[in-house]
Amino acid sequence: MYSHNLMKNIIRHFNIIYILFLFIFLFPAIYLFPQERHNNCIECHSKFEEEETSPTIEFKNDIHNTSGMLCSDCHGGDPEINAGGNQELAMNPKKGYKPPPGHNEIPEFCARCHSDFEYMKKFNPNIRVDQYENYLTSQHGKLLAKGDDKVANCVSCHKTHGIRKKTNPASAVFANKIPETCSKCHSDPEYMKEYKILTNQLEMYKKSVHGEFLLEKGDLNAPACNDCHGNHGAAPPGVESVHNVCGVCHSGNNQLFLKSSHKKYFDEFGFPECASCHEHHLIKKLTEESLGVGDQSVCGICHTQEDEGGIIAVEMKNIIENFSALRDTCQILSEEVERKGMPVNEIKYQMNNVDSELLKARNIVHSFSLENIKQITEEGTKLAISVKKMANDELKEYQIRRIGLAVSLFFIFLAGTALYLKIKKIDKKNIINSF
Amino acid sequence: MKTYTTNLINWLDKRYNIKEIIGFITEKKVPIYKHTIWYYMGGITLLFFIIQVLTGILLLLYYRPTPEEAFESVQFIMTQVHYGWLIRSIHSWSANLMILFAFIHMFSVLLLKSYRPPRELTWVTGVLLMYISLAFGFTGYLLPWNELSFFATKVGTDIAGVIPFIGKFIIRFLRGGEDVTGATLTRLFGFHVAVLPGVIIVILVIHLLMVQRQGMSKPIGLKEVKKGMLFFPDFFLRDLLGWLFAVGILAALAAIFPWELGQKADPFSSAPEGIAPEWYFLFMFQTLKFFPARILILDGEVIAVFIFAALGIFWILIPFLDTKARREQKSPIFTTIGIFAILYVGIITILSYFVFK
Repeated sequence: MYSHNLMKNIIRHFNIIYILFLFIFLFPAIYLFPQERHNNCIECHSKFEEEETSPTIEFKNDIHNTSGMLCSDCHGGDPEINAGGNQELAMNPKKGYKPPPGHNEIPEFCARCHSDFEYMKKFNPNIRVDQYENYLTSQHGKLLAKGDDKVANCVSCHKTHGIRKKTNPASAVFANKIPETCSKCHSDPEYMKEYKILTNQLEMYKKSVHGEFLLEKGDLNAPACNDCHGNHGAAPPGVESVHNVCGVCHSGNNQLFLKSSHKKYFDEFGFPECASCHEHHLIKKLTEESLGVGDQSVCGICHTQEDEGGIIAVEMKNIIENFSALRDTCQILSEEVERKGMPVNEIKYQMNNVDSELLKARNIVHSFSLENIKQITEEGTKLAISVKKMANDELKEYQIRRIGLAVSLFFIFLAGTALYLKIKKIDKKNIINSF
Repeated sequence: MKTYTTNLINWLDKRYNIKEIIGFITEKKVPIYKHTIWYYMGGITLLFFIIQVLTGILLLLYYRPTPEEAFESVQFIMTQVHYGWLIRSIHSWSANLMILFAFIHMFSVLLLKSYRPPRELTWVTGVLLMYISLAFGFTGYLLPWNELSFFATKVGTDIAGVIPFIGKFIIRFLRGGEDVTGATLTRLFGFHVAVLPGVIIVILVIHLLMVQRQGMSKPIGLKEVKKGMLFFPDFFLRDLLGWLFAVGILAALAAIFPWELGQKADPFSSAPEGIAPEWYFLFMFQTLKFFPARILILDGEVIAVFIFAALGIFWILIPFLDTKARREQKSPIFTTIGIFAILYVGIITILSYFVFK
């Protein structure tokens, strides 16, 4: 009886249940598929801006667009209003519309959001918001503050409406694009004339060991302009900071240099530390030839053959050259062992150790201590001699195998000949002619 | 000395009647004609098999069948064990030469129609020995656990997987799981050193007994062979001469071109370029590639696998299908099949190395 009444009640209230059902399940479903935001700006502007570089085209792949932002999020106005082509309605100052910022206003314009962590963390909780602050300390920022309208601002490097993530290879600030991006201004003598700075940085950088790795070998970890000069706070490091800048990556060499006798004198004479020998932008990879006091040496810039430093430099050169020559001999022997098909794994493994000892010896030069160099090369030389012995042993073994084969083949041949003669002998009586 | 030997033979004869066997061997004759040379091929194949057994046992003393140690143990054999490099090199070269001579032996028997009655079962056991030899090659290939063998085994076992219904089971059976892992290595090692040797010895003994019992076959139309020689010592000494020649070639190959070990297999790396099986599987591997992805509604690869399986069975049954040869008549159809098979296998194998890389 009770259940009968319950059924009756359910049927009576069916419409209410039905509506409730729709409300509970359909409303969230609508919420899950939000309508695309309408953008009247693109619709109108694309009619009269047909060039490739126009904002309506460039903005398609812009990081702001792909993150769901509209033109109005930067420029204000109401892009979603049905204005029927009426600019006044869409670009209404009352709705926050502002005309595009001037060159000197751009950093502040971008900083409205990019310096606001509360806002920016919605897009990336680890995002940096100190770009504007850094920019103000940069050479660019300082000149901009003085009213210079030629210096770089945000859009000079990041573009205006085609801004992409720095990790996007199409971005102008992607690791291997940076030298070219900076050089747009810095390699233009006409443009840079009034600043009285050199314009050959890109040319030098391309020849440098850094440029070789980044631009030719595609090693994205190799440093570009920003890694030494800073990103948004870009400025020349200053003579006394060079070792710190290089030391970010070359920390071992930096420590050796700081403890060396040279640090004191470099400071005294105002030499730009690392750049004194390796040069800046050109960042030369120095070899044994750079030691000593010969024509190509960098020690010879300050030292002569007669002074104590010069004598030590020549000795350093000889020690490392001898070790390097021994290493090359080992390499040649190792290749010969491999060519001859003999086991080479252990030799190769030990060759890696010899190479790392040579690298250590070259690095220890930054301590400018003959004692240190002798110690490292002694260990390396011992190792190289053992590798040389191993390789020579393998080559001897190769010869032994050859001789062993020749001897074996000789006996096989001898046995074969004896067998052949025996067959010939017994054939005469054994061959059956009536099979 | 002679008295001792005679006494020993007499002692054995009283117990095992061995004079009958000795008499059989000393009276056995081998015909001499232009194709006598092919009679030596089986013997050379047998020599390489014996070398395989001996060198295999020596390798077993140091080899360890786990993914962690397999490569290192072969490396140890090649670099630290006295003459280990030679033993391993001989084992690899001898394996290849054994299969090469098995092919030559098989095709010579096919073209001379030596399989005709009463030697049908000698052919059947011979073909089975050939298949087991190929299985030896397949299972042994993975054992050094190097990059090439690892991925070739992966590709090879993948092919078995296309067979409808039982493909998945065969893959699991061969690999000991879904993928080529340590389980595959121990499994194939087990087949290589225990299962296959057991099977091959039994069939080989039967095959050899049949050959000895029935003597050498003479080709059709050459019944009137006049010249002949005694199996012992004439043919036996010639066989020995052939063996010496084969050992010389093997020694030279093993010493001048030591078998490489390559890089250790890394199951997580992507397959390197140019993955291919051993040369004796190349013609099948390449044929599979010739097949289109789909033939009507069927999978091309499945059809290819079935065709190969059917051909494998057909090959065993040749003595029973060649009715003309059974009647001692020339059978050009089977001669054509044989020549076509030689040309196909030969050309495709060579092209696989130089053209279809």
